[in-house]
Amino acid sequence: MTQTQLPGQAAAPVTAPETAPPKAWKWYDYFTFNTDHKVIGIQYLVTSFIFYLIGGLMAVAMRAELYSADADLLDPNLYNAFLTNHGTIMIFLWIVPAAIGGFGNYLIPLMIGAKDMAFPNLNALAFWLNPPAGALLLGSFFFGGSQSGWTAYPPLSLITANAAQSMWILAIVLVGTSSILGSVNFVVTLLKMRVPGMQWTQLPLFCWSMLATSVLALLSTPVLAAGLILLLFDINFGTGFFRPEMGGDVVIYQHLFWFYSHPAVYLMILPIFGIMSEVIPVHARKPIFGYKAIAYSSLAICCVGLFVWVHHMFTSGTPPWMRMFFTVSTLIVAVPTGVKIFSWIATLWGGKLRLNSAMLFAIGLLSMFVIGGITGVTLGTAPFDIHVHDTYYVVGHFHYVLFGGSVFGIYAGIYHWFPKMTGRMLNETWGRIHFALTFIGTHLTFLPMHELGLQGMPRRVAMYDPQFEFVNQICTFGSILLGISVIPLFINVIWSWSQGPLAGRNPWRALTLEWQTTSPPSIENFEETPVLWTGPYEYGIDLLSADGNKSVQELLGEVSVEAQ
Amino acid sequence: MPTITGAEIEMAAAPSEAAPVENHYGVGAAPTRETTPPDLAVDVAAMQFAWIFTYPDEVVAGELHVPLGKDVLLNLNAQDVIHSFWVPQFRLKQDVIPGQATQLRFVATKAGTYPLVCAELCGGYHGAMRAEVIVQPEAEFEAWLAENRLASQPAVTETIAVNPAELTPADFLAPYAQTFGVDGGALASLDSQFSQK
Ligand SMILES: [Cu+2]
Repeated sequence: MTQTQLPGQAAAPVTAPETAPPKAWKWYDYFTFNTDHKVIGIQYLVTSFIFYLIGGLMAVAMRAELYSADADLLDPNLYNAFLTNHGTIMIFLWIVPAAIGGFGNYLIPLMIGAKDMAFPNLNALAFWLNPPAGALLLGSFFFGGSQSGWTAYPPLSLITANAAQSMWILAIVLVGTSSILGSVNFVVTLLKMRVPGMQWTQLPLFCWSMLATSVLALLSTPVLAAGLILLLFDINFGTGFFRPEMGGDVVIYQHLFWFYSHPAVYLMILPIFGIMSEVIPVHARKPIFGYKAIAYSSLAICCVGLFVWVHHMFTSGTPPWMRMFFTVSTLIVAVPTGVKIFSWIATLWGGKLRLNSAMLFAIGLLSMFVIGGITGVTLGTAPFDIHVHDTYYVVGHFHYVLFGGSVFGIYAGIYHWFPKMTGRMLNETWGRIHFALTFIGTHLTFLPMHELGLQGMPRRVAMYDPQFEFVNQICTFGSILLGISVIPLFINVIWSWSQGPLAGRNPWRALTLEWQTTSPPSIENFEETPVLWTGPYEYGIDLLSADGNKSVQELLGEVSVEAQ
Repeated sequence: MPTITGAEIEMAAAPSEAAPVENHYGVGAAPTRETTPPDLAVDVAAMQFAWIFTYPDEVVAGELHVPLGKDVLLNLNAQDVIHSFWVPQFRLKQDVIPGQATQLRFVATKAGTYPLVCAELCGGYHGAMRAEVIVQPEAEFEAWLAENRLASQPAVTETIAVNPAELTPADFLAPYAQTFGVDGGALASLDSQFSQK
């Protein structure tokens, strides 16, 4: 084990709370303003899952409309309201809160051996900004629903369903604020509250990815908030920032929007990369391949990701030098991402794989993300992008990344950490059925979309050229399969939460600190400060020392001497 | 008004249906041709949810006629919201942005009829904002232009007097149906789409 200089090591001890907390949380505690990071994590996960179902129903309704070329099922304006809110809900009320808020809050203090986050009250406040945001979005349907896409480009967003559009803006500003508060909390917690002796190189990779995520959110979210507030002023208070007839510039909005919203893609995938780096070594029973490469590549994605946003605007009349610059910067993102992919494959290679539900979703993610990544590289290239921009090719691409990537990762995380969160195991058979349905449904729904886009079908349309009808019907059947695929998960979680077999502390025989405490962890996480006796991924190392006659006590003693 | 010169895209060949393209895409402008005047300039107006093409001599049409092998310059203008001019077979796309004059320049090298699609969400009937690009030999093109030159005048003034945003595409295009050869079948299909809502 190498010894490196550790900044901020002195600040680690945590002070005890003023009042004695209860022994365990009751069910109703989960509906209150609770400052326990584990309660908040589960609040995030459950709330976001409800919105996932709502956003999913909107998607199925849209696919039903697209079963035929004519706009015969939904009113086209309602269709646009569904497409806008489907995107908004899935991004801001499902993937971001589940991956960052849910897993981030639940796991980070446990993984670094802390009792809670650095600012528990701020944390609870950040969560409770989300339900009103969701209520605003759903309430906006009484005013027609926001219909200008999740991008809300003016002038369309200025002249369509003004009340609903304003509610949409307020909802995004609320979740953006929540994201900023949460990110501050993660950064301070990771810098100051690691268990004594935990080096940066001993930090679980999920924590590294959450650090990168938080920095990215802190840098980019305020820019989106600025753009949206200007839009709100244009709609309601007579300003003309984005009104061309008043000398405003609509392209400036696109810059402000994408300066946040491209990094938002990494906000949705970096925590998932962290989940992958935890799930794969545990179930492959091998040390992670290239720990430092994975850790630093998260930071690299965070930095480069801030300088690629114009690739969403290649057809907006961007000057040639911009097209050139942002093509190159976009292609560079593929390098740190590829580093991660190869590291995971190398970790799997020759491992003693447990092909359980968590691992299946992790491997499924790998295959999906490679497809989404390759189409992403094609889209980053300006000459190709000019043809397929705003087509179903893009829709196919980002669903491979966000559904095949982020959602598969959230599923993997649920199967992996459910025993820790609830103390009970999920049913494996139903988990595998869930995986099979999701895997087939994803390809069936999103693979044909690439063909549609290449052949000339634009996105965000309620009616289209009849020549595309057959391929659209395949996509619609796929989406129905995806809708059905949630049912096994839903039943499994509900049933296992109360009836599943007891998990014990460490059902996966994992090495990170969260598995050293009880399942579910007690309110203060650890009965005594946990001992860091091994790195987070040193699987298989016990085999090397198996020839010795030393007892476990002696080995532990040796390790703690080494750690001094 | 700013002009987006970067929007100029050089296209050397239009594709056939089966074997798409062999075209010389530069990333951005075609600087070698920037100084030479085009063979034909057409004003393109994009509005919810129709394309209107204005040729020299005030000829107005609902589809884009282009002479084969000629250097064509489109001056794109958006009347209301952002639209995007996309001819999939040409691999050519340019956003049409209100408040910014935008240009697109190309040479079509294969005769035929190609779909023109709006690629930027512009409202409920965005998906119905479709038209056609007709690439025809020069003589044919000139004949079409001459045929429409005289008849065009009255209908144009008549159309400008109404607010197009309040009309359905079918209503909007109806005055052109006889005079400019807008396909009656296309109008009927537009009508059926609107009556179903
Ligand atoms: Cu349009």
